[in-house]
Amino acid sequence: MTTLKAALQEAYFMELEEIPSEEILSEDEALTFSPAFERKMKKLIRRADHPIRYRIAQAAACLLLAVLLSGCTVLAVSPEARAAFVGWVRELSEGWFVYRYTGKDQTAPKNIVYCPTWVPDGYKLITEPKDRAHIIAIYENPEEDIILFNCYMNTESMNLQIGEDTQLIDAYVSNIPADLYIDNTSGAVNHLVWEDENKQRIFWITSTLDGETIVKIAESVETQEAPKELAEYRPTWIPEGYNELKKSISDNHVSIIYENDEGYLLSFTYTRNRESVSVYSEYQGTDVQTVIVGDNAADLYLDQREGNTNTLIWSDEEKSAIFVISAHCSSDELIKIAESVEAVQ
Amino acid sequence: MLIYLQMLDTPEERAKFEKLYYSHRRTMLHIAMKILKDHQLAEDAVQEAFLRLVKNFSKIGQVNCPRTRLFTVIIVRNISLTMLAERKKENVLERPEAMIPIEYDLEEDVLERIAYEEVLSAIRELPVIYRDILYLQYVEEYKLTEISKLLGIEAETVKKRAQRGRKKLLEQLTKEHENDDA
Repeated sequence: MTTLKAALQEAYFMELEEIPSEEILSEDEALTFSPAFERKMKKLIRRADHPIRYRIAQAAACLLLAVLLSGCTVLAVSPEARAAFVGWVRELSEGWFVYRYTGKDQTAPKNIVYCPTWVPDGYKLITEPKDRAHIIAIYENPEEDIILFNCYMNTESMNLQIGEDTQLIDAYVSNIPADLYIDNTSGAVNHLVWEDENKQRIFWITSTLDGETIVKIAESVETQEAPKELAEYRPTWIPEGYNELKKSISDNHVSIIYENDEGYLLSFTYTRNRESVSVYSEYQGTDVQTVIVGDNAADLYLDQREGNTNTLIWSDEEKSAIFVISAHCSSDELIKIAESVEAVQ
Repeated sequence: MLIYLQMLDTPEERAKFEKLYYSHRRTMLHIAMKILKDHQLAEDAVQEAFLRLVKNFSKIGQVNCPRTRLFTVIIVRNISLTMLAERKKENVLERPEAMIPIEYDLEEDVLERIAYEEVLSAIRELPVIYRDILYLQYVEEYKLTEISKLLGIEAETVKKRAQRGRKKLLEQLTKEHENDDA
């Protein structure tokens, strides 16, 4: 190690030792962050460890129920009785509730989904229900509380895990008997499970909302035409030297990042079902121009600093999406990338 | 920035970034407050610093290690100094100097002839805007373009500060050495 490097390293570690530790600084009232700052940082961090979301996700991923019904016991010992029974049966198995379907497989009607038509104010649909054997719709409010709606058909069984303080209450969803699981722990999730009139489908709502509200949501469930499968879009031309680095796909947001040998990134994203997207520009000297991409007007943000990123944004009504391309390349290249965007299989 | 925020896509990356935030945020606010003397501006500097860290997330190793803490200090310090300069609408960072040669070599043999403690002392007295560049260049071994992206300043500015830093350091060392000889 050279003298300069060694001295620089030691000088900096000496400086670091002169800075009070984070623990000591946390006791300094002058170093308290404002609520506005905390909110901004929370959005930046995009916490994945929201406890309620985690519990709901856990409930969606693995269900466990445990209570044997007398009916179930009869069915267990009497094949004839079991054969005569059609529908969903609740069982208890080692601390888990299991709902088992008994009966023949039914043919699910095409292009039909079940979906609540009422949710409390503030909740927005973030995952659309799709025409599949397992229909799922997710709603979220600004406080990141979610409502999870599931509909199963032709599924052998589904399991529901409940907390120790959970109370099982008999409820009704439009005169159909339902199981309402209320967990009295603060902030805990509650569940409502019921089957349809024909005893073919089982529905399940999970949320931190109270039982009465969850029942109201359940009673609003109706059939709807399934949304058409949405096309996926990709640029068919990108500048030479870029290779795909990372891809993130959800129902309403697709993001693909490419990288070249020099470490420059190119980002292609599009968002559906949003009225607006926000683009952060860290440099106030960014020029904005209006250009044309295909038949659409687009905003071109040019950062005049060397080595920085230019951004092209446009809204395509036909594709029902807002597209954003950011890259270290010329405006002509950005437009060429944009005009090469096509639907892919 | 849109590109870089998307890079924190996996739960592991988000968890690491969250840990980084909670482990060093007050240190960064402390550094920013010392320079800017304004809480709101200091928060802005800290936020900008974290955005910069997202941009250079691959350079972050262990969250709770001195090197990472130093990293956060250098970034927020440079951002704060830039904000301060913009507020004062004057170049408090650098004074106009005579033309600097494009290449200015810091002779290693000069340093080798000077006691290590003198070099250490001279480095500690160097203005931070030069010292930080030299640290990132010589200790972290970043290229000038990488330092430019890290600190959010022009590559040419990084180059000039590196040159001026070496020049000032050498001047300080040779002057002290001449004084000692005298």
